Amino acid sequence: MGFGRYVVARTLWAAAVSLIITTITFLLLAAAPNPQVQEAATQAALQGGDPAEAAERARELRGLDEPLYVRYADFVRGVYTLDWGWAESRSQPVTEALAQGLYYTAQYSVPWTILTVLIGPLVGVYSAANMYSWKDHAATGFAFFGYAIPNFFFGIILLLIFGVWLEAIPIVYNTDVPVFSVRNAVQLAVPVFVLVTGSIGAIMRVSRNESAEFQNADFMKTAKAKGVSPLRAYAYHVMRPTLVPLSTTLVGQLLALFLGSSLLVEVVFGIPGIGRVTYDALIAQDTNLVLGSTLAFTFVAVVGNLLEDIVFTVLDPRISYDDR
Amino acid sequence: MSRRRTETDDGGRRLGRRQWLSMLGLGGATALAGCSGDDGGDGGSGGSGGGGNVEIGDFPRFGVGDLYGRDVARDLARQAFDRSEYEYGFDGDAMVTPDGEQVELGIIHVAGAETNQLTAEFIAHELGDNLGISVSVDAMNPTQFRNDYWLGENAEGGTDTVNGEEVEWSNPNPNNPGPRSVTSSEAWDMSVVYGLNTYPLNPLTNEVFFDGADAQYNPTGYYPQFDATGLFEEARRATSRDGLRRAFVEIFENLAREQPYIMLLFSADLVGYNPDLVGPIENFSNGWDFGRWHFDEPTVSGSYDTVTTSGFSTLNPLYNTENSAGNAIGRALDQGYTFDENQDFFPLLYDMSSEDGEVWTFEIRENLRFSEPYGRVTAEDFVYVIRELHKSDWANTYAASNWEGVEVEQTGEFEFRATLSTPSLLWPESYDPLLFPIPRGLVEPYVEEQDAEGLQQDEELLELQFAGNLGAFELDEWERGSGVQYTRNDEYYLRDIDEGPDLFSEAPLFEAATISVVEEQASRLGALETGEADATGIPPEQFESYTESDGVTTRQIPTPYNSILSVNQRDNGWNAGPGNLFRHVPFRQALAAAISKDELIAGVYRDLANPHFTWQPRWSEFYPGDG
Repeated sequence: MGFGRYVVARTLWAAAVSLIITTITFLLLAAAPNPQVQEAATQAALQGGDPAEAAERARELRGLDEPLYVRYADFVRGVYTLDWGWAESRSQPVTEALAQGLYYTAQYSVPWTILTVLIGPLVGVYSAANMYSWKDHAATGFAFFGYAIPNFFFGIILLLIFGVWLEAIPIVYNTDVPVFSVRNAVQLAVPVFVLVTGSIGAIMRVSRNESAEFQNADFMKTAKAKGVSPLRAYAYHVMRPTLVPLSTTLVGQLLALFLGSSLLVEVVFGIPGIGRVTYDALIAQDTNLVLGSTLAFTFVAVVGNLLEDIVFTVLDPRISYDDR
Repeated sequence: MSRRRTETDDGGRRLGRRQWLSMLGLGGATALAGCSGDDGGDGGSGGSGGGGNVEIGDFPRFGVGDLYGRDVARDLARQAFDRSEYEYGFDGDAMVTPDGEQVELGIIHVAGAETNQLTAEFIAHELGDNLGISVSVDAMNPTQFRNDYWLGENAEGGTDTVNGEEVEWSNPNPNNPGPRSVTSSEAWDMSVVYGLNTYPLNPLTNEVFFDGADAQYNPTGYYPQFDATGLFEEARRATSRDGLRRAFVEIFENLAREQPYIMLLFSADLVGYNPDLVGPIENFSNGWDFGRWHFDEPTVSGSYDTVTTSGFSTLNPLYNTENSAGNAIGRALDQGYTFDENQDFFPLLYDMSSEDGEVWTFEIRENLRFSEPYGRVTAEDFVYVIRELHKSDWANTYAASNWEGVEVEQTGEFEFRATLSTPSLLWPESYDPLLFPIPRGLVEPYVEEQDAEGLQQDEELLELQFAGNLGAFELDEWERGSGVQYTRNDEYYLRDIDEGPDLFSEAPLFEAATISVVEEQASRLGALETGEADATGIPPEQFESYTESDGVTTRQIPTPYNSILSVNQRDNGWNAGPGNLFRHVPFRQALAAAISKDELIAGVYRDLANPHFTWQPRWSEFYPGDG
């Protein structure tokens, strides 16, 4: 199988996976009691009306009295045409709510991802090159500290120090400042710092141990014997094989971190990003928005997996397409 | 919803009927609407309880002074023993059952709510010391408590004899499923999970709790032993303020004696302000005169910035039911009227008057206008919205239940009349006739299509683009999840009115305003300290330190929400032995006399609360005694 066919096959599989997930979501939703229908019934009961009749009316209003296959077809069409409905808890279309959340999340998650991907392996390889020196210990200590301290707590502490005591950063996040501006960089510096320290730990340790394996490999000895500079030797000959197992960690882990970690940091720093959109929707029982964000994250994960597989084969030509 | 702005985290509080219940620790309020329950009746003896060795007077204040302590509590308990058909008594220190075992009761509090737990533990301790009851304290998730213990899911109604008269529960509901024999699914004795609203502006609303044994809200199975139904009827039919006060004072004196719930305290909203801010007062109506609030000098300057705990689900004035969103709407759109710091009616968009409480005349100010193309605000706009939206069966607006049984009729360009099916002098105080101005032209297309969804999602309504000169500020942008930004409305109608403080002629005295959503409490407090926010709520444990700090001015804003000890008078209450002593007024008095309100307030509430003796706060016009 050639590279092109491999990519096509993987993409088709990703599409199938997304359809399966959409179907399961629909079935779960169809089986669960609808809170709006229940609410209507409760209201009617309290006002002295007939709860059964009110529930029936509410079901009719929402098209829940249609046969299952009709509702399924509608649902799938809605999902793939991005008609995800109205987010009751925010009074705007679901897609708009998600886009808005993503806009603010991207402003810190992009620098966060880039810095993590850059700094993590670099510090790891640096540690490996200076193994058991004080530099290695300092880097390891830093990585473990960042990994161990909860982002939420670390965020509050830094906000207290830099925001309340030193008044160097604003406490209330300002959505008005331009994306590429010093003020935005200032207000995002601490959240990004907190997230980077939280996520480079694991990557740094893995890359340190991986690269330790390669720095005494035969090809490194050859390179050194040929007079290759240490920088080039590490950058070309150690870094590349190190990144192969890391590529799974990097892409996969960062995607997984996206939601969980960003929520806590968004809450502390008041950033109206995708984590809070999702969380607030859950709390408010905003079915459309919960569904929308679940699907969005599922699709991101499916695409992430796809990219991961492709990156894998590009980084390591030894991996064949056929047996995968 | 109302124009009162206490500007705490959760905004001002609306005394609507939808908020009978304030759940401690969960902040939940049941969404209930309408109240009926004017049937039933109990005749009753009109005042009872007390006597014997204890002189309790017309308006007893249990839990303080002479009416607190071991001796008085035990005297009262003995009176209850005499009335009980079972032989309860004291054996040395301990209260004992007919079998001679010590009386053991349980008290339930909200899991994870510290103040609530400490309150329960304090009560357990007091009842042990003063009455010799062994009380076990249990934590519970409030939702579980509500579903399994508080509500009677199988509301079945029934009949029972109350004060010698047959009463029928003809309209049972989970909050009052029937006579005492109809119970929740789980047995329980005492609970501090819920507090309730006491409705000081419109005490008539308390009918839902106390209008006879079959009142709409009566989970604990309280049977009033005074003629509650008759007195509420008297209040409803009163034609003068004096008549109203007489009826209510009698009701509240009786409730002070009968202790339907053991009344403990009223806690306050604790708010921190920018020390440069002039205007906030320690009054329930704090914020009614927002138009004259200012920084330092009374000139237009600065931006009034506040923070809120969560985003708004809608700013559509026809559909909003949240307090915090009500505040956000109120910055850009006034409602009909408000109440000043003396709780007196203050007209904003319109004045209301009535001779008899049945026919009310609304007089709309003539200097009000919507944004173009909607023109002047006239009586036609109000009447149209009431008739076609609030009273319709499809639109389901926030005010849908407020206008049932009310006939409206336009009587002039700026005047309309409303006729109530049940007259009420306190109609304005019920907030039912409180309206937002909505242009007829804007909603007409939706009315023709009966398109409720379209109405809810209408951009002009959601963004308040029609607000003209009707609000202090113009809404610039509502960024969902992050907050709202406003700029000063230079044409605010309030500047041209004759009533109110002089400074209204400049209103508002801020260039701009913002409301930012900051979910994390530590961040909100940080913003207050650095001056990024001009007001925010303060947790009780930090109130003292902020009070001592120069950078923040603190205020305690009184609320009508109480903390109570609920005792289960239904058949599954009192699990200590035969019978149910909670049903006897002297026993409930004994409980109230055994719990020191002063110590509870000092020890658990850090002195940030006021004692609660009857179903009104002390600042209410209808508070008995010296007022």
